Amino acid sequence: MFNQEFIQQIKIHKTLVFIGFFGFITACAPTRFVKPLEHKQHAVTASFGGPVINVPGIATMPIPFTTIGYGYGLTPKTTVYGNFHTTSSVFGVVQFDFGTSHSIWKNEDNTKGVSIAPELNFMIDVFEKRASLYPQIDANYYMDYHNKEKDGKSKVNYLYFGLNNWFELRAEGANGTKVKQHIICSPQIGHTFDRGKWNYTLEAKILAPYVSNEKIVVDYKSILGNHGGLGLYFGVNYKL
Amino acid sequence: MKMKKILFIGISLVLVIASCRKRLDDFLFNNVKADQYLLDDYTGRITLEVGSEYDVADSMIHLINIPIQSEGQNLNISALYTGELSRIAVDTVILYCHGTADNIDFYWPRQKLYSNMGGKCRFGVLMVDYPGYGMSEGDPTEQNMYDAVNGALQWLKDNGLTSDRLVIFGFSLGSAPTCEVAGNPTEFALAPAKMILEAPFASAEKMIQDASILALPSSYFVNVKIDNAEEIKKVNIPLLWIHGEADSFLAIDKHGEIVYNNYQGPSKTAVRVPSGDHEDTPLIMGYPNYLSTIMNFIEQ
Repeated sequence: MFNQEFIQQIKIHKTLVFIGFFGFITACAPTRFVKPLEHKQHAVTASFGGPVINVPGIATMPIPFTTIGYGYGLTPKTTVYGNFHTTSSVFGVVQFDFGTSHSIWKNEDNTKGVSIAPELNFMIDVFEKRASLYPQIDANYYMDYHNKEKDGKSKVNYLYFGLNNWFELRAEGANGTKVKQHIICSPQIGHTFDRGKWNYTLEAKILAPYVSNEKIVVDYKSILGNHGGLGLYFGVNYKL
Repeated sequence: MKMKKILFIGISLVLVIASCRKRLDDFLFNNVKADQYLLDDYTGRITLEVGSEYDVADSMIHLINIPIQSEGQNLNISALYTGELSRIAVDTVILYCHGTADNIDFYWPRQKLYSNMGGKCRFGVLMVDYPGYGMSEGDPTEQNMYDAVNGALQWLKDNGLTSDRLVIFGFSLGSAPTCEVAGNPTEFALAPAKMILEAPFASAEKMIQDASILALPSSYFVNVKIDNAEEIKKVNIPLLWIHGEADSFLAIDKHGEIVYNNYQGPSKTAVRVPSGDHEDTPLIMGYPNYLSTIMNFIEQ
């Protein structure tokens, strides 16, 4: 008799989990600088997290994509930044992203605002030198709450939500198949604990919620069942 | 000064990490090593259970050791032949290239099915464990998988098989060596007369792109160059393709259909199995129907 559990088992077998390891590469980091840095301010950044998958025998957990980066407040409204994707690098893929975060609106006391972050993701493998370029644009609305100042140090919390959008420029995929998804759009919600020099961000994305996650070799976990995936991230910034 | 320090640490970290060369090829093969094959006594997971009517007499089960050279290594490859060895020189033989899971024990029920097609051991069936699978030595790679299959072909040839009586059958991962042999017959010990693909995948790159949504190159993850959808274009022997329409692992439209449509050989037969998943098409079709479909193709 056919073992019905097997298909599920094989979907989460080590092969497939690790193909999926880099699978949702659009989901490899949280939004950078939802609030732009102050003018001429420097910051170093790091992030951890990715799409949630079930690792057999271990746990259901986010794929541990990691990045390290740097940002600079070019103007009071614009921060430029770049990040190096460390996990990708371990596997022979040199991946960078470069972008800017612009404040396009904020209220008078700067407790609410909207920012957009156009970005370019570049990756190339060291084996065959195959390069890829993915434009990306994030848009976020943020709002401060529970701001406090203690011992001369400000403690600001802000919540944000918005959209993460990746753009696939290739028209053709493997074996001459037509690429169907040219815009990979993922709603996101996050929270930043701004503690002066240090700030910490937690973010969740609903990855490509309009795309079926069935009949593929990776078993993505999604709050929407058979569509999209769930991404969980942690980011830290240190202002120099 | 602080900035320079951070920059130095950052660049050093990047260089150290960038010097790593971890690849994901190992993870393409879900091999399980074994000291011995248990066959009917195997209690691990299996996907098909077959009744006693499909039993194979002990005298018809032959464990074969095939020495090969691959990628600078001498490896002993294990294979299981069911049938009378003396009939290899005169009858049709199926070389079965199994999927990615476990080893021969896992696929033993399938070998029993084929060994009972058209009668008890009507066809000889040889199933080979790729390097790193079961009792086969080494660790699996794309190349040594092909070399192991070539070793099996050489063994069949040494025992009197000729190309016109060879049918090569690939299931799932096994579609890779099957397409490789059928597409490049002069590079192997024997050139099969017919090929059967069950639940094949289009290419390693297609599998990766299925998972990533983006059209990422496979070289970002693996060194393997498996591309059945390209290899099949070179095939010049009849093809039987079986695929479950509900395959939740290798979707029929994203994998099997591409391979089937790219085939440009003399004749092709498609069997799309309604509600069939990746592993259960024999069960969904019903074993007698499944086996008669294969036998009719072989005897055409």
